[in-house]
Amino acid sequence: MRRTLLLVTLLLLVLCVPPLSANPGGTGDGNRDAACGGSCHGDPGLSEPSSAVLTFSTDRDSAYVGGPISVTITVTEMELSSRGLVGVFLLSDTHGVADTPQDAGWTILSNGEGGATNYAETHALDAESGVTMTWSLLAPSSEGTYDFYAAVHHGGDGAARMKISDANNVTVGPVPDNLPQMLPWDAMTSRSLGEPTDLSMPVVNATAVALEYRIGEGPIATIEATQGADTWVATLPAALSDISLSYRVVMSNDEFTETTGWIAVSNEIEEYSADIFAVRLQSMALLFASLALCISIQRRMSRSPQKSLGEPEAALISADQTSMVVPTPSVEPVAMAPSLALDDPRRPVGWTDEQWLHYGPDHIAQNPGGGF
Amino acid sequence: MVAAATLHAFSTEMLVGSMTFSVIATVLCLGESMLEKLGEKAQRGLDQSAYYAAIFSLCCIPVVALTGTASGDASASPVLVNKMLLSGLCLGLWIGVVHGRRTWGPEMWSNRKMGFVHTGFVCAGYTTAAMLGSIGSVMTRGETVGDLFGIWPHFDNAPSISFGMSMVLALLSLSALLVVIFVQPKGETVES
Repeated sequence: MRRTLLLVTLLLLVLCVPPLSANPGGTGDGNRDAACGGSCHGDPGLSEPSSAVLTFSTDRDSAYVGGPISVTITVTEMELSSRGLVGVFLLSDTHGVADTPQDAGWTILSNGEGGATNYAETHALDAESGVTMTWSLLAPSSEGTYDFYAAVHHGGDGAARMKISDANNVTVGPVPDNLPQMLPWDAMTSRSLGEPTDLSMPVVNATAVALEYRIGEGPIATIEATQGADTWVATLPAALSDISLSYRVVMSNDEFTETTGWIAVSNEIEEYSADIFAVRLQSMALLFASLALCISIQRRMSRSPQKSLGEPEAALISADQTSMVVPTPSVEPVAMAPSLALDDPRRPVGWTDEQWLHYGPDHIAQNPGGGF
Repeated sequence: MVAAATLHAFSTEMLVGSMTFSVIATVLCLGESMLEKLGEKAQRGLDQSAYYAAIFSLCCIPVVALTGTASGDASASPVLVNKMLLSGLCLGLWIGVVHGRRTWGPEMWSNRKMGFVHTGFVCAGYTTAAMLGSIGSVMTRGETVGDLFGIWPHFDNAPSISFGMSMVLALLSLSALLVVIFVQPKGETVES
């Protein structure tokens, strides 16, 4: 009966394992197609629908060919895991293959999280405030109407969840004559702490170019760029601590002023590097030391008490050290005289105690019977 | 071919499974030595199970360490450095566990003091292995069951010790081990 109960309990424990969960720690930012190519979030057997509300907005109604545009996705009212981790996608399609904006000809300058990828992860404080991400893009080189989709992956209530929005259209129109434009450009999205950064911006049709930057949502500072041979150059001041810095490029001439979206800059923390051979030696040191400790205690405890009592302290060392001992000349045992009582009746009259103790034995031996 | 990371996960599961089995059997042995509820036969069985499971997990530890080394560059991450250090500690403690059981023999449970010490070593070795598994879990899944305890260490920082000092430490500990092995009187099997 007890065995049956035990087995039933163990089986129940196995059944109690919850059907969790995709990658609760996230998988990091990256360029990903819809549903990450069939991840746990996209697997209908593992994923559940999300109650998230996805809001899509742009900083302008339309973009010019090759021109800048910012796309903002806000996710609210979603279930949240204890970590509050949320992964947000900006997609150009939902087929599962070639779904990124880059596949549709867009250039991602920044994802607002210090990278230039279409998928980024961030933490939500709560479902009400949700998360907001802004992508800074450069439009494709051909005119047309382009679709954008917002998607979100998150966990909550013990399940992986996902949601994809409906299509949002963005029109890319012809470039007006004399419009200041940024040519295809790899924007700087990360840099080392404590180092100023020279930015070379390939801008055409501009008579003035300025670099605007801000820390967090703080006031905007402006640096005028100088014109080089083919590019405009400006220096972004060094960051002395791990701050949230973003910048944008303002291009202007007599007729137009064009501004890119905000480009977030992440700070590269100095990479860790260890001497692997030193680490191996330390590991071996720990191995030897812990083993020595174990064996030492075990050997000490397994010595029987009788043996331990019979040995001097030095005997704890088992090496044969008898050769180190200097032999001493043997001393013949002296036959001890039997002790004499001072009031012995055989003591001659008039002998002092000292005489009796010294000569008494001889006296008794020479006068058997008492010497009276 | 199978990736080193896959082999690492496989060997880790073998190691943790057998080690858990050994720990449970050892703790039950200790309990039986104090309460005497199950009988001598059951205790002998538990002792043998714990011993052979410990030997099996001891065989798994080098495999786990080697596949783990092959599946990541430890020099670039303080977490992986800590994994290597704890691997050495775990291997040392677990060799000590097997050595202790082999030296003292199955009758060690008749001596309560020895039983407590042996169980202590077993638990220390298992805790080290659990820390190793916890680090792996944090690396691959971003969280660990150890977080439920609230005080579980994450080992985000690793000690920075030079090559020369590491060599000195290794030589000192090796000397200590050699002294213990060759100078200290050998242990004796506990007689019933």
